[in-house]
Amino acid sequence: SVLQAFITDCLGHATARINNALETRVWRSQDTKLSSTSATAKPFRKNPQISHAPRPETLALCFVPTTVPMAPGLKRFTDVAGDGTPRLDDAAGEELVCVERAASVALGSRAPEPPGTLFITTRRVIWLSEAEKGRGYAVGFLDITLHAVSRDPEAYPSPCLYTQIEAEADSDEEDGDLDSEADSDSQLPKISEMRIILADAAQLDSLFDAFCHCAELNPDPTAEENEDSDLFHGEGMTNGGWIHGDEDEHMVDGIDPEFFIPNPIGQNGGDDLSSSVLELQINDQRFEDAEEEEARENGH
Amino acid sequence: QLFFSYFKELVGKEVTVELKNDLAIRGTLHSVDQYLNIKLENTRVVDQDKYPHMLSVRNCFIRGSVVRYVLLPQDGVDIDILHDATRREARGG
Repeated sequence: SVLQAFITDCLGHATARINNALETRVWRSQDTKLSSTSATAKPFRKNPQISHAPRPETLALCFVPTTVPMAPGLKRFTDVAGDGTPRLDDAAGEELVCVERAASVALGSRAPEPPGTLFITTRRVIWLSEAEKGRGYAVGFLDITLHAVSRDPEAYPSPCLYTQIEAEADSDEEDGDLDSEADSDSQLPKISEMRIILADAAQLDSLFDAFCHCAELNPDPTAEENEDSDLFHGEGMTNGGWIHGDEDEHMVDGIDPEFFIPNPIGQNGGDDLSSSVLELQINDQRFEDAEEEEARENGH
Repeated sequence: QLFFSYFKELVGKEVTVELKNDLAIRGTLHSVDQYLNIKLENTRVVDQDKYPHMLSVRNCFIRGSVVRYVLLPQDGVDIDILHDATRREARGG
């Protein structure tokens, strides 16, 4: 009853957001074809359809992972333009939010690096060393799980912005690849904490606010997917059919109430949910069509 | 949106947020957004063994996706508000 309504509500939101993202993506490809300038990254924001959905770029992350090339967790960053600023992913709409000069970072329990410049973008945090050109780090806001202004000298000698970083389990393998760069320090271990120390400690509060703002710009795209997956990809469920296995007679109804919800739900609730699942599958096919259209246009 | 609405009712209350990495942070709920990102004030770490150097920070922003539990104070839970909120969701659903 209550849970059923909640689940249906979640599905409704997820479906609506996916619909919004798909429509906008198709629209964008047409718009790119019409205007010949390269500054076409902005149209998304003017589309009234997406006024309250999460930004389509973030949903694009789950369907087209190559759109924003970001490795999980904190990684070395070397994509620097000639003027010493980091190259941003303009195509994905990444914009600079603020820049803090004379900023140092302290990774994990390491000592702070010599001062550099901190670039906050709508997607990630990038720090470039001033002394060592080509040395830098970047982490996406999707992976910054927590941030806070730390002013307690017992916690850390200087006031700083304390952040925790989510690093994926397989990040160690990626560190193995970094070994090929002939750098003795190339093995970047899983960094789970990063402190940002500013020359002007008074700026820490506005940096905290900038982090909050950018975190809100980067909602987790997998969170809603996982909710749906947990509900629909349980033991008794496959994409193909509801009924699974001759052994377990409990599953004859098609929905395993034990898995779903503690109390059995009436038939109507089950039907609504199953049609919502079908809706999601249809959306997947629609998205594939959109990509084909893009490819055709590029062929012209 | 049920949890979002419910957490808005808890603003100003003391809560303990337990993260998926087992860190538990206690503080006053300052605000929450639609993604259930949580801002806490006057935060202190409950389990200081794991993160001893994060003793106390004035304000803290926690990503919604990393929250495992939000532990609520006994007296801070208004059952009636929760019932009303779930009834509203059920009607709207």
